[in-house]
Amino acid sequence: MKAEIFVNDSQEPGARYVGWSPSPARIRLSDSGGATRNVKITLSATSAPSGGQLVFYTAPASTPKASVTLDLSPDGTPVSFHVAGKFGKASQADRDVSIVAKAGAETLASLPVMVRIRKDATTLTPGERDRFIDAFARLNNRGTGRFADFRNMHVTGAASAQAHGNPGFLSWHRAYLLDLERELQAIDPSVALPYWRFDKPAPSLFTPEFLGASDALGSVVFGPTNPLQFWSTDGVQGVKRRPLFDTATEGGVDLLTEAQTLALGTDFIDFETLEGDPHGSAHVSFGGSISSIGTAAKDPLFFLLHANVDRLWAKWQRKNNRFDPADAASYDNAPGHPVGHRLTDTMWPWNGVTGAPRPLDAPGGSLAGSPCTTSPGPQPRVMDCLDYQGLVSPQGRLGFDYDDVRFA
Amino acid sequence: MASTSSKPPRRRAPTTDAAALASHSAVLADPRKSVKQRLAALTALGWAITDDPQRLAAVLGLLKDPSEPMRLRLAALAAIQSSTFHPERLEKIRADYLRALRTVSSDADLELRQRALGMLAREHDPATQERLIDGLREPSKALVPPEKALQLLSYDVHSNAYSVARAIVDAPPNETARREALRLLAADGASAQMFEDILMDKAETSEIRQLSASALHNLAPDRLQACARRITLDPSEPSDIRSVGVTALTHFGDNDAMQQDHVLNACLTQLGDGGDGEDPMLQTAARQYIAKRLA
Amino acid sequence: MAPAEAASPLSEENFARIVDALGSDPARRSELIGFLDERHSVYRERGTAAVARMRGWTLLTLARRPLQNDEVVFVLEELQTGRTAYEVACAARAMRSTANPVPAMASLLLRAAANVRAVDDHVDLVRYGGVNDAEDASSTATDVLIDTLAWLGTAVAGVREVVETALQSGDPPLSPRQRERVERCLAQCTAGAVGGPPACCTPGAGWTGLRRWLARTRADPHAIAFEDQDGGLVRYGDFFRGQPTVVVFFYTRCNNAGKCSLSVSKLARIQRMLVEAGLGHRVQTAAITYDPDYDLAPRLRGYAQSRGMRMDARNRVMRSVEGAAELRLHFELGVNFISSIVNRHRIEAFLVDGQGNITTSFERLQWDEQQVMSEAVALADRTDATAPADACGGTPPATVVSPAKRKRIWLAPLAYLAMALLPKCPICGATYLSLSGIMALPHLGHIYWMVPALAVLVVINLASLGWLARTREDWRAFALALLGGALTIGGGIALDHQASIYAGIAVSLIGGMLGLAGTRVVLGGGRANAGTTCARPTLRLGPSPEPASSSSLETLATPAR
Repeated sequence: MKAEIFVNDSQEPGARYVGWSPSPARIRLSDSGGATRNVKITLSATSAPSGGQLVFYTAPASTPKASVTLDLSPDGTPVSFHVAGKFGKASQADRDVSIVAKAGAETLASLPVMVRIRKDATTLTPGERDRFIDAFARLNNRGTGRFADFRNMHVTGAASAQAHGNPGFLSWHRAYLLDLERELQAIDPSVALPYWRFDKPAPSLFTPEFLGASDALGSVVFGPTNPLQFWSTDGVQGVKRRPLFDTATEGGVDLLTEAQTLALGTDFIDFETLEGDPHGSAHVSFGGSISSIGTAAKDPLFFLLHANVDRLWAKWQRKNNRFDPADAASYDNAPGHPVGHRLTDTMWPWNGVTGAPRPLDAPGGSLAGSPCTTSPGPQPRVMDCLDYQGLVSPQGRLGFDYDDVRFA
Repeated sequence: MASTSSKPPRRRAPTTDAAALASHSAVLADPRKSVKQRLAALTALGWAITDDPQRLAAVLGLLKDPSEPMRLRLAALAAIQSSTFHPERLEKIRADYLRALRTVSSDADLELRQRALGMLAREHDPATQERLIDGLREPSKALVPPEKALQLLSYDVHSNAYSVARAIVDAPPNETARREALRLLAADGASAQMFEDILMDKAETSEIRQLSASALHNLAPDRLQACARRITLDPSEPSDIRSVGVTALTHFGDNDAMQQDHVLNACLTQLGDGGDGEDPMLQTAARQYIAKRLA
Repeated sequence: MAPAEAASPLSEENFARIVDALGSDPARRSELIGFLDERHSVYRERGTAAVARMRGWTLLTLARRPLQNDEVVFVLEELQTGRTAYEVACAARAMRSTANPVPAMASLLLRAAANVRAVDDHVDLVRYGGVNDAEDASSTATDVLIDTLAWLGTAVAGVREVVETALQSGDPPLSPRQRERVERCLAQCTAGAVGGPPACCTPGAGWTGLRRWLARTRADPHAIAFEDQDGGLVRYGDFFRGQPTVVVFFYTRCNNAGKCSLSVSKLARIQRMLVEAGLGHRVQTAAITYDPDYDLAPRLRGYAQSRGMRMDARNRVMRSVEGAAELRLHFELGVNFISSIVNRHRIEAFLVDGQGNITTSFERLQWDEQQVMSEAVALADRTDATAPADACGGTPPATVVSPAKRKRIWLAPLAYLAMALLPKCPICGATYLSLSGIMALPHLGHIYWMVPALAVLVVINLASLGWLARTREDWRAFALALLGGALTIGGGIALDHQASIYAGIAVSLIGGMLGLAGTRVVLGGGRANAGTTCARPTLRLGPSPEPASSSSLETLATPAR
């Protein structure tokens, strides 16, 4: 007797990635072994040492459990369930946890998956770190890769107004990071974008093995085995970054702590002031590319900085239950905001709209898709970025989670 | 899919609590207050320093005033710089902001000069580029060390710095300046041969050779792959440079070519297996290659 | 230790002095305009900022006197696509010297304001260099633009309507502060009819024609080979063959979103429009980089892909791997370099026909996709109508001139050649031969020795007719031939005026026939002295000449026409 398991409603290997949010899954008997009645199976997980752990849901709103029991029809009709990572037990390597279906003692199916989570960069294992920088370096590929589009999306002028200075700042950057992360996952599906917790010291981040160590001049030095040594943007080789603080013992300069940020207010119109502090303060905690809006995206650190900004938003959303665009406190949708910042607006450049008031061109095309979810779609709207865990609508799940922001 | 609210959205209460802002502005401007108090006032003002022209002028004035404490001046600079991450604010203040930066770019304090020049260089300020180049040509006019000037000029590939950078490569005032001059020249497509020569020159330092490898990858990736292979196979090469070569092959080489290259693969397998005195870094690099290319 | 100095080009200080001197001499205005050509050697090995300062100062100097229509294009170009505060401010100031302002110029002023909103800076338009950080100096580029808008509003009616429409539509997107300032200056604008677009936009013909002549004598497009986005190699003659092609030039490190990135995006749009109209198989597209050393195939592919370009055998993104200099000459590209890096270029797009000839260029100002597509399709229609199939049913190899045209070119001169072979005096033979050449050569545009040969032939023609005129003491034929030569070489070649070529040939022909009309051929009998020359003409068109002195000169009958 054999069974087949589909995660995220797909047989694609690229779909076998879950976060804290329940992912739809199905199981069916592919070989009933002559059974004529329903077969009771148990779904559970087996993990490698330090591997991820899973929980199962019989229905999205049900209580998650370490294992569930399902009845499978001998005719092969699939039965739905949901699977997610157990909060706090993310994977450290690809396929280090498996969904196991057993009928009694007999194993009918075993599907390796990964609990793929965005983590604090300082907590990454060497393997996780190396996979991330490898994928990132290849995405950059001396400035010829897709990374050039990400760099060109974050420049001054009309492009800047699409992403900053108005309520859509957080949604835009969430979509931006998601697009980048999916491109990284197209290179290595086991990669998730880590974040730089900028209000805390991050000694292991600013090293030649990871994002580079800055010399006195502010030129970033990478180790001989670090592929980021080949980083290039705008036709210029290397990264310019000069920390204005001791990265080993301090966080960024004069910026709000996480607690202070989460206490900005329970209404989005108060919380969005984080764009100034701690976001702006984090940027100007350095000399170098990351400290000016037009050059910030030249530094790979930029994306980890913004991953933390996004994580702060996610944490604030969780704390105040602000996932629903219909909730006025979840977003500042006052009239008068420019195009690209209202809830129902699509966002440049993914919408391909050019010409005033949008910029003249739209590099990069639509937002990358994912085998794990259909959201937010190739041309996301501002509102599509709020319900990132699919709490309001399961279809709204964006396919990422943070290590310290639970699902429910 | 979620829908939008039918209730009218809330408007944020004006953050410009006039009285509070006035109070903070007064503290900031008061030289009798302690630096700590004045810094706190500056922090409290936040991006509001750019909302009012007079307030902005006051902060810019503080920045430009050499009699003010440097800690305060640098904080003022950071505060304004932070606000430039808001495009509308940047557009509103840019002209006055750049003017103030140009003024403090010749301040007596090196740190302030460096920061101001960095901001100006990232804005591709033409006057700043000319001053930096003048300083390279005539050291008596230099505002920052030559290596810093070259680094700042490299923010703009269209700057006028190529001839002076070449001159510095030939006759460097110090090694760091030469390094930065080479980094700047890595933007010139006609420099590929120079970088290949430097990469293969064992007399060069590892730092320079590593930079040349990166530059060659930028300009002529096929040639880098060929050089990387030669370096990897050459046991007389320093371990760190061999590691650079292996890394280039691992992450950017042509997979089909790698698979067929039995000589290279045998060498890397041997390096990966380690042995007496084998450099751990090289061993790590070789193992990465094996895991990626030969697994 | 001070670094060794490279050989110094002209300093900017001296450049400014030269410009000032040229600006004060109206007779040398064309030299001043020459500095607005991107290819001018004075810009070689300069940074982009230096080029902007030099061009800006040139514009300001030009504008000390009223700008003529063909000079306004440089102002409009800078307003439309400029991204440097100083140069845009110079263009705005220069606009106030326009001889014939029109309300539509207000659109460009607003466009320029939108362009510089993120790069605005204080500018000094009095001193060369553009920077004045004195506290009391308060003009920014936006200030200059708004001031010019206010000037325009009082200079010509209809500006208010243009501005109100722009403010209402939000196009171009001004910053709130700019918007506020524009609204304030509306009060000064006189209402009235909007009128048409600026009457201008072609650079002066004089230097353009001469430059084009110089370029054409040296460029051989068949020496050009490309590598495309997939690493495939193709020669010029093989790609530009059989179908018309829309060609744009760009480079991946261009940081002006209104130029290269937009051009490639627009080319992608043309591709889509062609496919939607069912015409994708009739017109090719090509985007060619100015920067072949740096823009290797993967870069080309990535850049084009991210801007939505389709890439296949008929639609390529390419860099030159051979003949880069020929490419620049052939297309007369408006580009210059510092080291191998582009320091300045203009917007330029071209239509190339199925024989590899450039038929149309769109320069300086942003071009409209619909217009370019329409012209490309029209060219395709003409190509389909005239191109004969070869024996295998395919299209013929690339040719410079069509067979029918070639027939016409050679037919008439052959007649003269035949006449030249008839026994007559050598002077008449020289006249016939030179006339043959004068008729044929201008049509063979791309022969590099065409112009010198043509000049030699004109001289021979004039010399022979001059001799005839001197003997007959009738200079009318010579005068006509002289006029014809001047029209052909001066107007037709140097000034690139097609009609002048035909007029010149016609006048030369009349002059030549007039000069030969009075000669008589001795057929049989008689003795023709070696080296004898023509006698006086028997055809009298004017007052009777004095009787020729008796001489041993043979007389020649008027040759049969």
